[in-house]
Amino acid sequence: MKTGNLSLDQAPPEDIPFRYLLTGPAFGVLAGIVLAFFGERMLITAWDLDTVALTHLITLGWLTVIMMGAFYQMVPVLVGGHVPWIHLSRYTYYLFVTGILLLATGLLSWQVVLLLAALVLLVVALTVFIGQLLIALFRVKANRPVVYAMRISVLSLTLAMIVGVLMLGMMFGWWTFPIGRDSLKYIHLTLGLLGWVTLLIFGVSFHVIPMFYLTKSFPDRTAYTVISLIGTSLISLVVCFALRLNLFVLSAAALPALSGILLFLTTMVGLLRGRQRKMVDATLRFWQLGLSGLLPAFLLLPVTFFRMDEIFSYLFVLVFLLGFAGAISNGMLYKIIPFLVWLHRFSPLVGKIKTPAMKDIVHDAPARKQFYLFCFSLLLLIVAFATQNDLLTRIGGVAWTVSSTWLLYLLVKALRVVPPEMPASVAEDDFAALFKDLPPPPPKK
Amino acid sequence: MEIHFETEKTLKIVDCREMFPPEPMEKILEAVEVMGDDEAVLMVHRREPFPLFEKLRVRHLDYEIKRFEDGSVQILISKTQI
Repeated sequence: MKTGNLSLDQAPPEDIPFRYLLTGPAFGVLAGIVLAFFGERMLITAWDLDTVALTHLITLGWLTVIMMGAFYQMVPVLVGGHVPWIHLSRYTYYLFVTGILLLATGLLSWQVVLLLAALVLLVVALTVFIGQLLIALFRVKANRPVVYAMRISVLSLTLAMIVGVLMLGMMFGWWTFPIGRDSLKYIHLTLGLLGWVTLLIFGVSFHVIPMFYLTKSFPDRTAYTVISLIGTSLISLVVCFALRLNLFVLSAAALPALSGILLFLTTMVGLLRGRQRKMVDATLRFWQLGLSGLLPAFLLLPVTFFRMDEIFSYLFVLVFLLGFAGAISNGMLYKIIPFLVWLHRFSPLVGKIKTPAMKDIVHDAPARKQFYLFCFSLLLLIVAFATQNDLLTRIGGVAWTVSSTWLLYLLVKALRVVPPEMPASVAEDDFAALFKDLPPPPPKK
Repeated sequence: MEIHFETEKTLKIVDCREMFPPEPMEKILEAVEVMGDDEAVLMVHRREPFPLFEKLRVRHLDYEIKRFEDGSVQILISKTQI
């Protein structure tokens, strides 16, 4: 039997990806509540601790948690890799979630003890995750673009974590570092948003878009070009920020990433338009929204460097985090969760019972309504942030909370789909029935 | 469509290239469920279906895979020779 390098148990037990994937929307609910509660206090300055707390509820609580769950499942499914010590992921989950809650609480209330505890928990959890993934990703053959994208994404997360730790320690006065905090925060942003989030979404999309929407394959050469362009900007932007080079040089450093993003978008839009079976569901709408949000987000960013106020900083963060990454992750949850439910619970029963289709596990009609609510809350928040309006910010937070709650409800409902109980075999019943009236055997001497 | 395997077994071809997930895995598992000792199932797919391999192993089935430049695969599945 030809099995390549497959180990016997590649796919993780279902509880591991499920717990991560469902926690993302739960943090979406929490982020919405924080925004609704604090309102314009979140819009004083993008670097205020309250705003940093909210940002990390979204970047770590929503996006990173979902991405960790996706990694645990996608490394076996997309690249045939094996994640080592998978059982540890159950424990690091608790460390990570607790760490995020402590971080947000500590920042909102400026409690140093909470921040210290958060630091320890997050670093331990992320170090285990990064170790698992780097081993898995460097063991597989790097013969596909998604492997490179995943490797760079995880390495970016590693560096972003290190920079985050450096910044927190500098804030407490524990240590100094040759690069100032101002530069470090832009390095942290670049590694986190461009390296960790964008590259992972791009890398995964090279496969899941053709897989789920029956488009032609994303051309390998184009994929490698996109990854190389973004990787080039990653390195050059980090260097530029570290050396505090001027805006002209920074813009030049960002150009490769912008070109890579344009190349990715035009290729992907072309593939989606050219698909043969033009089924349109809520998940495709989320992809369309996410892809539409990406370019405006990256065009908003350079404007922030030329303005005294921070409106464009807020808009960039909002459009990137929610309009791009949030939309795509929201849509992908409607594909991943039903697929995993089917794979773990129903695939062993194929041929024995009628198995549900994915659209029976999460129905499209309610998912589409949640999409409209997602769009409404995003639009509301864009207007709120652009006008720095307190009431609209709070209403937008409420809308976001309702949207995330609805998503969570639909996903929990999907998890409740289980196979029917299998009846006992008739042959066994008949066989056992032959002996039911016989006396028990005598005891042995 | 060119078949890239040589076999004496009766071949059932399952072309999964136009199927949405998880229909490819479902069709293959249904096909192997009724496969005889002198039969083989040929899966034609546009990508390598990694989650399927463990399902085949659990069912004590052999498989051989041919990969092509465009990412598509042909997988010949048969019962394990004892």
